[in-house]
Amino acid sequence: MSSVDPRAPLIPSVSQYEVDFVIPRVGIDLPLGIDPFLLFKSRDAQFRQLHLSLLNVFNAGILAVRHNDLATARYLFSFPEVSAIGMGYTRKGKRGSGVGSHLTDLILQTLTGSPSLTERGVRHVEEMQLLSAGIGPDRISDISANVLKRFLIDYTQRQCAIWDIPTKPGVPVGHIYDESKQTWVDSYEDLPVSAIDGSEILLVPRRLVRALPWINYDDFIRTEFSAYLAARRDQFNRGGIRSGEKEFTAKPAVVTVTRQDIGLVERYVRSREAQAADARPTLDYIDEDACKEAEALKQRLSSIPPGRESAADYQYMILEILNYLFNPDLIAGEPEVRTIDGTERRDIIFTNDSDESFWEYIRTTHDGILLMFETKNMEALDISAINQTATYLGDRIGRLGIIVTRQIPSEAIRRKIFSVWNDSSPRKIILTLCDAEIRELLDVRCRGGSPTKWMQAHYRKFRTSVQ
Amino acid sequence: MTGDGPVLQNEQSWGSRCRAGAKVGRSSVPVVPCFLMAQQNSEDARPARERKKSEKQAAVDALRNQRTKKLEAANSAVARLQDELRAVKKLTNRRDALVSHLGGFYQEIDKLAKGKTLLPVTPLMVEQANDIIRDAKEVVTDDTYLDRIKEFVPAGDNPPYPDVLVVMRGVRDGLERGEGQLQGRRSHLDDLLTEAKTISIALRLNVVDGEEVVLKENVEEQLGEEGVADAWFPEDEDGNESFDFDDLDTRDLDSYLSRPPDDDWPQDNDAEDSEEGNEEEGLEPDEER
Repeated sequence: MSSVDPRAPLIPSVSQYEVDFVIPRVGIDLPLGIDPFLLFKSRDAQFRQLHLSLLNVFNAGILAVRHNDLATARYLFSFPEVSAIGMGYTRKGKRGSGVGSHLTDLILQTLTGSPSLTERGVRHVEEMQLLSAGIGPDRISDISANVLKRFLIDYTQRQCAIWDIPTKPGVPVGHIYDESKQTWVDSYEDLPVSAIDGSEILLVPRRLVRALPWINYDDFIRTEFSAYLAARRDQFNRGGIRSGEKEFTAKPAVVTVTRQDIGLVERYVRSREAQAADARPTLDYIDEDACKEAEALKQRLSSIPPGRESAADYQYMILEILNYLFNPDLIAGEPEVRTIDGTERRDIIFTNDSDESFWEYIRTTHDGILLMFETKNMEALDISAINQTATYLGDRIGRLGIIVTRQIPSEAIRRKIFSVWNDSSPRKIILTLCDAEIRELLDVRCRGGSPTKWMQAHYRKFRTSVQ
Repeated sequence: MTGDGPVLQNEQSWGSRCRAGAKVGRSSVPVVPCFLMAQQNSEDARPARERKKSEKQAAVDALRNQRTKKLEAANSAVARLQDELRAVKKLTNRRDALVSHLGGFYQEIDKLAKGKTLLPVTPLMVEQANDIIRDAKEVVTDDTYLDRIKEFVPAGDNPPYPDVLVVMRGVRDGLERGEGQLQGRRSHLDDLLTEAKTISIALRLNVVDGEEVVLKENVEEQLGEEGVADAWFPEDEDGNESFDFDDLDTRDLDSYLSRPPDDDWPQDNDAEDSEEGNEEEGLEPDEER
């Protein structure tokens, strides 16, 4: 045990850059948490539904408190630490303080001490940080991980299937929230386990993690509460009364104020919602060398020969590269996605949940939160590949598709792609990325540039050529 | 061919034996009276004359048919050229309006651009700039530099002020060049229309009214103030100006009245020379082209 680097990744077979999830470390928690605000602001209906579930649990508990049904409230507000996600702020190891019941008490105290909150309910569970002295960012992540556990289990199983991560059948998982019955249940699931201590691992999408929640106590103090204090200072000065300012900077004093004046919390939350576009997932935890990674990807790409035999290898290679280049703007990349009726199969589908202006433009202009990449491991792209991609584009998948292939397409193919654009209404657009362009993108990423800006220029080039 | 010999000899002998007042049957060699021989000759020449006459009539009919078709071609060319001219006039008006609109837009962008080198323009400005570019390309065609200007594709980020300013300047220059282009097209279409009308009236006078020679003054009378195409009325030795049907009969009217502005329309002689030259070299006329 002592010879193992605690910072080593728990799943060594994949690189953090190339996957959609946060790879937990062997011996320490990553200083991150699930930020429910990233669910709230997402364009992905599933994420927004998860945020709603989180609020439903909370508001059901609040209703119980209002009806003086403290036993039900205590049951619903039961949020033990979910160590399986490997996130937290404990410096020394993987297990946190293990204060599930303490958290329950804190929530109940907060609610009983703030009738205005009980009356109003919560818009965001993060508001609890501003109303309780004992609830910090790590508790918000714990609450989220508990309520989202069913989603996290499903997500982990999907990612394990994609990346060929071994799982252990029948791993006991406790405290999964069943929303339909409003109960916590236990279950046995096929999950990856830690090679160190055999504990289950739950993977969390990179898109959902931040070092601090977007709505957080420190920011509240800096912004809304400072303004409140300034206003109070003026009031006292006009009345000739000197206030003991220091007494207000301690958290217990602050929460006393917020519990009495829930409007402060309300205003702050609204202002954070208005700035939602700036709420981006944290990436600082990725400490691998970006250039080394880019070089490795380039070499691996070159080693795959064109042809049908290597088509699957090429497809997964491209998925890794796209994750490296565009995550967390393009998330939940999945290969071999079949349509509901199973008749069509798309090579790679990403969810475009980006706040970058270009991806936002693509989402709105080409009608889709999904983005399709077709991988064609062939020397020369043929017309049938264009026709196939054009057929896939539409209401369900959006009207922008990207064909990733080995060589720059011929003039005839270019003209065919132009004709797809010209003959379709609403317009369908097919972009291509060849090996040389992929290498260029990897170099851009290595230099610290923006692959998204490169794609924007690539897109513009197509649109101006087709005029 | 040897079978024709005796007949010819016999005919010759008949001619040589014609005597005025000769009595039939009194000589061992038959002598034909001259009046009978003349009658015989006249009867022999009639079919040839009739054939010649009918051939002449056929040629006249063919020429009439050909000119009737040309009259139809000239009339349809008049209609087509009038439509084209109307379209060019519309484009000219559109260009003038666009120049005025662009002038205002350019001035405003120029003012706003001061000190905003890195700031993106608003979506409204991008939309207006793109409308101007699109309209300019419709009004002015075949301008290399205007063709190179493309509409802005914001793709999430609008272009900065200087970019819009530079492009609008390019469009403005393109529209200025387009003025000459439109004037040229208009003048060319005017010329073609005058020619088409001249040809149409000359043909009508010839085909419908049966005038063999169509004088310039007759056509002028019909066209009124519009004027005639002088080139179609060469002056003869006596100073008369009549329509040049010989020239018209050799021309493909559809092509002639659709020729592009800068085309060096080949003279008939040149064209013939060219074709002859090709034949000498064993080439079909189209092969060289």
